[in-house]
Amino acid sequence: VSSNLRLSSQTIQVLDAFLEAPRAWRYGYDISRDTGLKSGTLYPILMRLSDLKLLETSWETTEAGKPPRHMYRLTPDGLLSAKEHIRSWTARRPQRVALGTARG
Amino acid sequence: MMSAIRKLAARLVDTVVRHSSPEAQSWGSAMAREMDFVDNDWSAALWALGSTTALCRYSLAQQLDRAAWSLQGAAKKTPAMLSGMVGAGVVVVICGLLLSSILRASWFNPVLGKLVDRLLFVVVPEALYLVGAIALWKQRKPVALGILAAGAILIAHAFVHFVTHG
Repeated sequence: VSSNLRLSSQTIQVLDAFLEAPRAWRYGYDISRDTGLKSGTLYPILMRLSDLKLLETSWETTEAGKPPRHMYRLTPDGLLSAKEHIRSWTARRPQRVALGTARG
Repeated sequence: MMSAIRKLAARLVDTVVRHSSPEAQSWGSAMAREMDFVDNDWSAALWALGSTTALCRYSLAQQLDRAAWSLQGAAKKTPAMLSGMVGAGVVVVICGLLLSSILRASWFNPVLGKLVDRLLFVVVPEALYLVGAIALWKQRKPVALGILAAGAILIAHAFVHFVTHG
């Protein structure tokens, strides 16, 4: 499944942001701020990760009257895949990666 | 207090979400909700523009996927339908050969020629098509559809023939 994932530098950035706190739920805007990606770039990546079952999504229950927020985190498969992709990305392009060292 | 720019941005996203596919609507609602947390109004407007672009792309990709699936499904059914039509054609050929041998038989009364012609070229094949299509409908629907299509063509042909030749 993860072989269908197109590895752009933006996708790597998103995966890297998720790996900062692997089991924590993240909001879209927070990921956007962390990665510097605009909504038009970030959400297609999240949608693709979700379609590939690498990302799970959930609606946060909020107090009455306020609309819920959508949250995201990597699935167990997504975690493995993210670590693997970041490792191979940093191995292939060490000079271009400004993401810090791959985790895991 | 919501500024005019932010209101406009929110309205833009809402409009696109309303006209998106059900799957895209969930993502659209998520993007629209996140816009509430963008501090700057112009950044919120940019967020809305990016979101609508992402939603449109997602909806378009889904529609293209669906179109590809239905084309694939049609491509899978075509050989089965063609086999049904070929089977129907074989029935007509057999009826034609039967008609030809009856017309040449010494015992055949030529007065009955037209009746036998219509019986063997229209009534018998159509009855066989109907029985065949009903029998195959549940298990081999594309084949049954092919037979019915051949039946429709034969009826149309017979109608034109009888109208023009009497």
